[in-house]
Amino acid sequence: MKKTLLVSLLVAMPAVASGAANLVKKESVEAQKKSTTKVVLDSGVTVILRRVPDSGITSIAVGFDSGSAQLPAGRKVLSDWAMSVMARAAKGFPKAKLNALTERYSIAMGCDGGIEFSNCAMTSLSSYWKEAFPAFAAVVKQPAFDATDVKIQKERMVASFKAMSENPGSWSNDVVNRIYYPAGHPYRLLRDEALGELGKLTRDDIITYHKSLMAGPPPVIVVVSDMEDNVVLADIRRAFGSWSGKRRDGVTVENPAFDPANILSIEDRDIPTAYMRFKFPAIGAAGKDSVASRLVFEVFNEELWDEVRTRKSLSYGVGAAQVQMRKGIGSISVSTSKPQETLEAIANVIQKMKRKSFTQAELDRFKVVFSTSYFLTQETHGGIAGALLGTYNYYGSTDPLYDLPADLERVTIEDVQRISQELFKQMRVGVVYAKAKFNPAWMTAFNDKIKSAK
Amino acid sequence: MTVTTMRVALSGALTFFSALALAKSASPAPVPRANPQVIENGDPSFSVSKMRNGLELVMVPSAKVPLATIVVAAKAGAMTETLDINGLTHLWEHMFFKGNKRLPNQEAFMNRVRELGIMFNGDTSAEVVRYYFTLPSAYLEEGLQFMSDAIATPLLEQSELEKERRVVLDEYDRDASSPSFDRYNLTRVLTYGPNEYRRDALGKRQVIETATRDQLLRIKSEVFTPGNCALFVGGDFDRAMLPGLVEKHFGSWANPAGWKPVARPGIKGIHKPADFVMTRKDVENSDVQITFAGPRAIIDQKDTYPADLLSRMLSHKNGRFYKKFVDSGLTFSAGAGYYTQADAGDFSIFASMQPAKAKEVRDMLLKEIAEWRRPGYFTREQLEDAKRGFQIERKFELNKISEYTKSLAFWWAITGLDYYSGYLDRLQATRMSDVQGFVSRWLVKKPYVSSIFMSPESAGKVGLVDNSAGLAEVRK
Repeated sequence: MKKTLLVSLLVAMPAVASGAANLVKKESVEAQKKSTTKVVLDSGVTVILRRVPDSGITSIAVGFDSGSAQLPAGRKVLSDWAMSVMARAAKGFPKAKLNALTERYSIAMGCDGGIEFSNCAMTSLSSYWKEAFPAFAAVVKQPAFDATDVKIQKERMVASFKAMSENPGSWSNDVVNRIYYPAGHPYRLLRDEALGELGKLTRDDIITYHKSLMAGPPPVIVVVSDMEDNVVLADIRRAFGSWSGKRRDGVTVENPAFDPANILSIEDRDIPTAYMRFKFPAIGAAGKDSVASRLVFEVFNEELWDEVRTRKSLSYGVGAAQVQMRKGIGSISVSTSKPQETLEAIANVIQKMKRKSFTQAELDRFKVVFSTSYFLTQETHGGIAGALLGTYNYYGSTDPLYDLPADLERVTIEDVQRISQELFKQMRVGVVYAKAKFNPAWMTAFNDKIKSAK
Repeated sequence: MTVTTMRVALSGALTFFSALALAKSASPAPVPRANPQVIENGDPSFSVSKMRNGLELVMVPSAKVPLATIVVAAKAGAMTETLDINGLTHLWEHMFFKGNKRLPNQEAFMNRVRELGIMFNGDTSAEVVRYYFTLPSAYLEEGLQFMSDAIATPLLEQSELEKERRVVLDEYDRDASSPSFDRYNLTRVLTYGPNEYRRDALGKRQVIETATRDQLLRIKSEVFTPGNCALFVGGDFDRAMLPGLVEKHFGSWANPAGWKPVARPGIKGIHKPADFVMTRKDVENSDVQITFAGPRAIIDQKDTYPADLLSRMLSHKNGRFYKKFVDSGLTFSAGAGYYTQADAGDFSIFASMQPAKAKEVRDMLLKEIAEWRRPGYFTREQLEDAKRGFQIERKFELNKISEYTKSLAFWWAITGLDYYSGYLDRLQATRMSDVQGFVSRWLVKKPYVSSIFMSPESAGKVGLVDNSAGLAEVRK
């Protein structure tokens, strides 16, 4: 819901040279930067305003430097739980009033607890902003946490966590996480651990969590809209002009140590096709090779598709992806009724990535593909707001989002090969399949093969 | 159910600019004049015309974005299959992405996709097959040619068929790996009886395993013909030039001699009313589904509007239903849905809950239906909110022309575009009494298929017994 156009990105990039050598001209990058305004309120709250003229749509996101990674084991699920209850009711906006407003104007409003950052977001037609924003601000700052809502939301979360295992594709993620993250790792929150935590935590814990959110670092607010900046800013200043929270030390995150004796986790399930999820450390959001790493995964994804699906017909669905937080996590997902052959095919692709010197033309094509998919994720107002917020969270500036095409240009063939050699050497895999049909030695052979590839 | 074939691939945002430079340097072949028959419609967002070969052209101009989205839709799917070829329209859809006369194999196909910066996908459902891609608008003509080659001149080589068969079987196996696969199939069989295959786009595994090239060619000649398809072009293009370009690239695509549309007799549920319990391993919660026959969009058109409004009002957070079933904590979620289809229709009520509450919730839902007719159950404000909600949705749709173009392709195949053009006005004219009348005509004391789904352990604890075996033969 709340879909909008690619307009802002494209209109802001009026001219580009042919070929991938210079995807986006400097002027167009500057134009995008100019359409983005950053204001720091006296309270320390950072406001980023992005104009999308004539769209008639407004998205706002309020981001907090807080998530499950900052919480100790036993309380990690609090962020998700607390945030998910916030949009139910707030001071001045009891449930019936808030519901009436969101139903009358089809306003999408909600809060999400993340791993390193959390946010509340709203998308609405701009013409309803004056009615919608006060409610949204109240939800963020003064949620009601009604006892019944808190209890019902806990029950829903329990049900949702339980249901994870019903989908073997998404369940394979939990299965691999059991061996990927050691106990106590900031990013670790397995399904069963979350259920255990929910069983012990109470409404008081939620209220304490929200207080800590309000006493924490000032939030970053991003607004993507066709409204005049001063109109939006005045409203935000009224709602977020005072903030007493203080910055605090961040959490140190290390890549999980690799244990060659613990590379395979299987959930025994007699289903027709095996779901496999591989995990391995990748490069973090602000890492030196962050942009190059994204390109490496684009190439890797395309090569996996070509080899595993197009040439070998081993799978309907295969792909590689990375999550870039303070630390990066790489993953490969695949379903197949021929796991041994598929492991071999994936290993062959990895060998190719580590050994092959791509031609400049090939790399340019991948750069275009990557740039396209990267910007398509920002097609909607909400998508743009999320991208700006995510960039600001990790870089303290939105410029890296706009500078990405230029940064991408600097990635060389040697970079791709070097990063592939660095990343694709030690993997762990979670498998949902009949245990008797999956020989653990296959995974050992897989790791041996990719490790030795140079 | 929609069966989606291909991943989202590659695309067009930044490539537009390099494409523009390339396109300007090229000297395109002359574009013939074309005077297609214009078909009047009441919606200013698009125009419809008919080419000489019967292909309908729907133009959705929008200069906001320098991209074009090209969609070919065919009135095809499970509804145009017979039992012996059930699932092969979907397999054919996969073969679209293989070789054709100009691009001899899938690797050549993919290379061209990347050259043109195309984002592509396809899907097959019971009543429509859609192929779509978005590309830089400067490559519009190349894109039209690419689409024309793929739809009109597929090679359907045996070796490629063998490879794609394995991919589609893995797709089938992925669905079959879901615990709810059997429940979905049984519900369909009970609802549609001997016609169940005509609602099953994924089809039968054995049919896919043994599919032949001749069978696929038969499907091609029956439903992938210009007379049975429409071409949609949305985005940034010259409206005056487009019909000529379409004529140039699609003009030689001809209907087979003596071609006639496949007969599609409408089918009506409910074949075999039932209340069943199904248990499967690996299920943690439980849910209830109640399926009624619903309006067929062509035959029972006037009832489609209250069906949509009813579904939306049931999810209104200040509404009686939502408060009773969701906000109270009785269920994790509950609601209703009407899936607009031409030849069949069903209206489903669903809820998920803790296993101990499943039977109680099912009984309460069945009892609640009659209440929907009572004055005051839904308020005037809720009806107006529902109508406004659909209008706002349309605004968001229109703002994203690539999705809007695909959406039009769906409505063209299912209801015709006149329905879509007049939809919001008809909704506005729908009264509370129409909604109440719909409830009386389609739901109250009408036959239905209900199911409760949970694990064997949960069923044992709450005293329910799996009674699904032997209810009906489910072909796989």
